[in-house]
Amino acid sequence: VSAITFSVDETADRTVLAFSGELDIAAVAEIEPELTRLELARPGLFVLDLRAVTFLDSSGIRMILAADARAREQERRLVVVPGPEPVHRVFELALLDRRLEFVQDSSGIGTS
Amino acid sequence: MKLGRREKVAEWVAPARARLSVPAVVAAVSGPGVITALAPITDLEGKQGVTALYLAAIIAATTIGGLWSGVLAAGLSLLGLDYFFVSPFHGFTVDNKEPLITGGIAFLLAVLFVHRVQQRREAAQLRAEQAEVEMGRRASRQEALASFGRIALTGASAEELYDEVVRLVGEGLRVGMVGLAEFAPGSDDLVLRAGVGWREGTIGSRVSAERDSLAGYTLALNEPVVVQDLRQDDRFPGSPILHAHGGAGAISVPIRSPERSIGVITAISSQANAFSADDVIFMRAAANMFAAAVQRHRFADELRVARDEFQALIDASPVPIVVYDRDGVVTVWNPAAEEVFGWTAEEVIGSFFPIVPDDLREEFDRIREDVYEGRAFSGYETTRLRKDGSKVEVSFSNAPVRDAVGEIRGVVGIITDVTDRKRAERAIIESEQRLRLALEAASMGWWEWDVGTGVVRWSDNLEPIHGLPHGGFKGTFDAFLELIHPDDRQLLEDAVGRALAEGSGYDLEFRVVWPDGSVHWMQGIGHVVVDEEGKPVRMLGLGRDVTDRKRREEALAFLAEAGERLSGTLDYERTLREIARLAVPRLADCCVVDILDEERSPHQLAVAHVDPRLEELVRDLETRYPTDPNLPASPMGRALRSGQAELVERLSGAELRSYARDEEHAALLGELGLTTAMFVPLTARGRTLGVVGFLAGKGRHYSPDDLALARDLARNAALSVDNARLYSQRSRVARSLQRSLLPPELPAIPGIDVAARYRAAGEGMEVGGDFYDLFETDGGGWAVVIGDVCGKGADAAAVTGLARHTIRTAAFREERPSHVLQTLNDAMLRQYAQGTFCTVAFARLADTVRGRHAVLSSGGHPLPLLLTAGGEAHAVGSHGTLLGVFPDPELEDTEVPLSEGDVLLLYTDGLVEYYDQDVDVGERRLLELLRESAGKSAEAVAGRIETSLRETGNGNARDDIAFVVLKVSRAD
Repeated sequence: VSAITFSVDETADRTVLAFSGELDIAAVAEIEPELTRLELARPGLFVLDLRAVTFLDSSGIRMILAADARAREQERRLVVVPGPEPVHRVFELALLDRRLEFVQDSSGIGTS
Repeated sequence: MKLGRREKVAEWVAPARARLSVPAVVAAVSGPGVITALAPITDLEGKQGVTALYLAAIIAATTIGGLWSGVLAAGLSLLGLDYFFVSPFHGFTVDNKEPLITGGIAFLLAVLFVHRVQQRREAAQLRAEQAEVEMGRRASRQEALASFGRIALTGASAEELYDEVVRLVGEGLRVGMVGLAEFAPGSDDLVLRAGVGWREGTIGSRVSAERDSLAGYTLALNEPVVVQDLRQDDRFPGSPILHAHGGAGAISVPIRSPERSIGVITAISSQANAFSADDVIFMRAAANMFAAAVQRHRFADELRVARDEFQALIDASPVPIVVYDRDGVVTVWNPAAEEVFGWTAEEVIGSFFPIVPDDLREEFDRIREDVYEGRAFSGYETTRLRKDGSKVEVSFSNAPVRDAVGEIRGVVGIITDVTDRKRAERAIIESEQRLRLALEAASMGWWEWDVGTGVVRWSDNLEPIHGLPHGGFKGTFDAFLELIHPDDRQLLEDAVGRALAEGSGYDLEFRVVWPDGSVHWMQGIGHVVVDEEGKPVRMLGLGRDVTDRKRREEALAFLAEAGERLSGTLDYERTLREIARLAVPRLADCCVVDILDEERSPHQLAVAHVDPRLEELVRDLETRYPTDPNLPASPMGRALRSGQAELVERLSGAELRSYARDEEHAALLGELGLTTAMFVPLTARGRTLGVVGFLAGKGRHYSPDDLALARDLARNAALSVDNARLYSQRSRVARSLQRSLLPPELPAIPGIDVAARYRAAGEGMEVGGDFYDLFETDGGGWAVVIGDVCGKGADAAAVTGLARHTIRTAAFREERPSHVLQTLNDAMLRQYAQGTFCTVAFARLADTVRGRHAVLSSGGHPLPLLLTAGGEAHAVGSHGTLLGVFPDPELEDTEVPLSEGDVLLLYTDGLVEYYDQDVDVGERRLLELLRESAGKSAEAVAGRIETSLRETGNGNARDDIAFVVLKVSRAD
């Protein structure tokens, strides 16, 4: 059973997908259909908000990397609002903090 | 009028007496006197000539003067004759008396004859005259009566009638005084209502109604009373007014209507003996006519009042009232009709009844004809039209209108606009229907229990809820209690008793037993109605069959429980036995599970029966008559063959016998007392794995709902069986695959002590993504690898295989660990689509001039930990980018010198995550653990870590765990 909830905020210029809970393999299975649906709209700015994520494993990493890869491919912008330190550590361990665009606050950024 | 002899004489005498007057005497004397005087002078020779003259004179005298005048003339004539014939000049000497006597007699006879003739003539003339007068009087009286009648009929006022009658009587009787005394309304006193000839102020005075007054006497006698002379009559001291007016003759006649006495009319003459029998008759006639006129007048008044009241009623009626005739022509149309139907009276009266819709014209005609045949209608409901064309629902009452002779002249209709009522009724009916439908849909019925009388009323649908035929409920509380399941009776009785005591209610679920023995669940809601003193009077309630819901609840609970048991274990055989146990008695009296083995022949896996003795019997039956799927009659065999569920709602004895293979089998089957059965195959991925049989008796009959439940259960069970079988197959596969991905056994490295552990997350059904490897490289060096491929299963296994072999290959070619990882990165990018990555820590162990050391690189992997011989522990190396995603990963090499006793730990993130979700915390924990393990062998360190995992004990790890421990045993 997954311990994840997520919320979607789709506005004209951005889509924010915010997670809350443990982003593990079960969570990924649950989230992926929604992620696919949101990506269909080709949001100019896609924000993955991890601030409320309490745990992240390689499945979560994989999901975010795949989303990022698709965004690059489609020349969309994907930003990640980093989670708490332990969660962000997982990115740092794999040096993904250098590969993904992390922003502390996504509200001020645009699609350009 | 017949006259007596005396009267005849009197009649003869009376006029003569009256007429011996001077002219009669002159006539008697002058005739004979003139003849006697003239005889000497004239030459009268013959006696006969003179005698004739005398005779003529006598006749003349008699004619003129009457009898006595004739007699006188005859006497004188005799004297004259004597003078002439006996001794004309010798004095009155009669010589010859004989001729004288003869002449005298002759003269007298002549007189008498003439007189008689004359008298007769006169009498006839008199009678004629009298008759004429009488006729005239009668005619005038008739005329007067007739004119009175006319006046009475032409609507004269009451006052006019009174004045007219007294005037009539006064004139008719030719009297100057007439009075009419009448009973004052509502009193026994008479009042002089009208009169003529009375002194002023007399009219209106009271008149005694006692017998001492003339009026009272007349009334008492109830006959006309004729008084000859009031002045000499002392019978009526009570009539002072009469006496005061000095009347003499009086006639008094009672005035009566058929039903009552109105009063008295009295005529008074100033002369005594004034009234004849005719007068009496006239008075009577006048009185009767007056009475009739008064009566009519009264009726007319009453009629007018009644008609006025009636009209007022009709006008004031809030309800339309109409009258129409046989042709449907309206004669009465009241304001309410105007209001309701819109047509005014002016528009409607005289025209055809306008409110009948065309399509109801026949009905209207029929009803009108019926009314004309004397029938009346009441509360007839139909539709009528308004002027604006809209329809009005009406209820009308019709009755015939009859005239004086009972002939029907019209139809009166009183019409009530019941549109609102109808609407309300419809609403009520609809709401009742809705309620009934709702109640029926909810299998809900109502009842009402009169606590005092014990009588219970209930809705029709309550009987079927109890399995009773229509009218099958006896209608008492005790009879109701009898329907309750014995185990629940007390519960219900207590609840009802409590509700009655507290004036409250209850809501509980209980079982009822139908006449066929089947058990059903009811929800009963009761509500006590109390009187002013708080005493229970009635109890109202709803009853509802909740068997389905209850069964569903039970079924769901059962399914949930069964599902939990089935999913919680891989020991499906035990689980199926438990499920068979669970199914009894909830779903069945007996549950059997047969499973097909590898050869697809069934064997009984589980049997459960509510009755342990019968459970043995079932086992015994299976032993003696094993299930044969090829037996055509057996529903169990059919279910196995076809994979379709079999439902035998009603299992008859004959059907049961048809399953039996011999008499004994039949007898044993019969002993089970089954009445229903269902057999549901256990089917997964299109394969029938077995069959579950549910069997029940005691009048129970499985429904399709039960079958659905059984199917759900069988689906879960089949899935469980299938999973368990798959699991055992897959875990076998996975284990062997995993083994193939890990080094079969760790190589012995000179001077290095090695231990490794691999622990798959979960039940090990899938190949994990973690791997490690340890191998010798070119030039006597050794490489140790630990990695974590994202994902699990076959895909992960493939990546793991690729990674392992790529690293092994690259390690021969490439010196630097970072280059090895770069090679892997490139290979993965080539090989796999986006999103497949791995993290790898690679270390090359080598001896150089500087001593033994390790060069390591991490591609996104947790850094290896180093425990120094001195007991220091820390992570070594630097972080690198994970592999397989980016073409330009940042990878660095770090050289770590190794001394004897140093311990290097390479691990996957599953290990630290196991300690804590925060990998930093997990890492600190692991470092602590290492420090505690200082001085221990590699195997001992690995064991210590394993132990800690057990101690941490947070259940199944969500990720695989792998780690490799290297201990430098000698640093040469």
